[in-house]
Amino acid sequence: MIDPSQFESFMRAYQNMVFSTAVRLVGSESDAEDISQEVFLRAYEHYEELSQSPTAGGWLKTVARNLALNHLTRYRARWRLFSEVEHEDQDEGFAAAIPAPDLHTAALEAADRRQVLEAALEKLPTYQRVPLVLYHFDNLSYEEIAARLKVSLGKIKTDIHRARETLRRRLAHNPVATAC
Amino acid sequence: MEPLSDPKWETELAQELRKLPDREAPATLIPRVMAALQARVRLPWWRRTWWQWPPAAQLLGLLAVSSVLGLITYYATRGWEAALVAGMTQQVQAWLEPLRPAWSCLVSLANALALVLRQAGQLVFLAVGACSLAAYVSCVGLGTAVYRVVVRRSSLKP
Repeated sequence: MIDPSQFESFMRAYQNMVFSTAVRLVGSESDAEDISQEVFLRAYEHYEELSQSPTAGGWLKTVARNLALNHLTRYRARWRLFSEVEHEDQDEGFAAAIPAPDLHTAALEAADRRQVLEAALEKLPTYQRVPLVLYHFDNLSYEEIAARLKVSLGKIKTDIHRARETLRRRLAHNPVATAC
Repeated sequence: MEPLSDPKWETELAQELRKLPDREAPATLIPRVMAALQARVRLPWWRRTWWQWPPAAQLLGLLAVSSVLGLITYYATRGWEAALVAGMTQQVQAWLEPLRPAWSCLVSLANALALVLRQAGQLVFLAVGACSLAAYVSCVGLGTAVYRVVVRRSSLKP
């Protein structure tokens, strides 16, 4: 019998990592919360092994990533159609939407810079954000990403390149992020 | 063609992204999971997956499924020869007898429809196809336009 308080502590230890993995891929907090809930419900079924395992974090991250990608695949036709009509001319709106910092200490500037980068990442179109996140956060190779997303290697390289360029352009609009 | 990349920016961005701390999970996540687990525990055993049934129920379920499958296999292969099945077939036919006029009516309607379509020719099919395509394209176009307006508006909001 699993002790609920022990499982709660287990969730508390990993919830931010699981939620971050999901939200960076799906780009929606409510969807990411649903995915995180599903991850922990699955973890509960394997809790006896996971509670002893040093690789529990890796297991949770993999399940979160797979569930997030499955979620995106389910809505793929929809996001593909609309992703093509989202334009780079939203950059100006994006820069204006980020509040300027009012304090100038180094620590706060770094925190602001991270906040700007996180927001810029979230605003990327799905077809750019997903490969970029898989490349930089999950350390997958271009080939692995192409195989996982079932798209050509060339498209993955182009999308990641465009994502980087979009981030550079968007961060350049924001004075806090110029140190990036 | 492979796009040209700026290795310096790529390295800087990789470093910055790796430095990003985890996003804070919503405070509602743990209570939601615990509530879902509680709801799962409260479910009676027959509404859970087979793996979670009590061992005796698992055994009985397995026996029942095996028996049904065995009977189906037996009657599908050799059972038709048995007099019992012949009797059953006659009984089923007797039950379905009141539906015979309705079935005849349906068959006549289908034949009439097929005749009309054959007479109308290919042009009608093309016209119906073109109308459906036009309706689909206008729905997608309208949806895309509405989406763009909504996205633009929400991105302009402070």
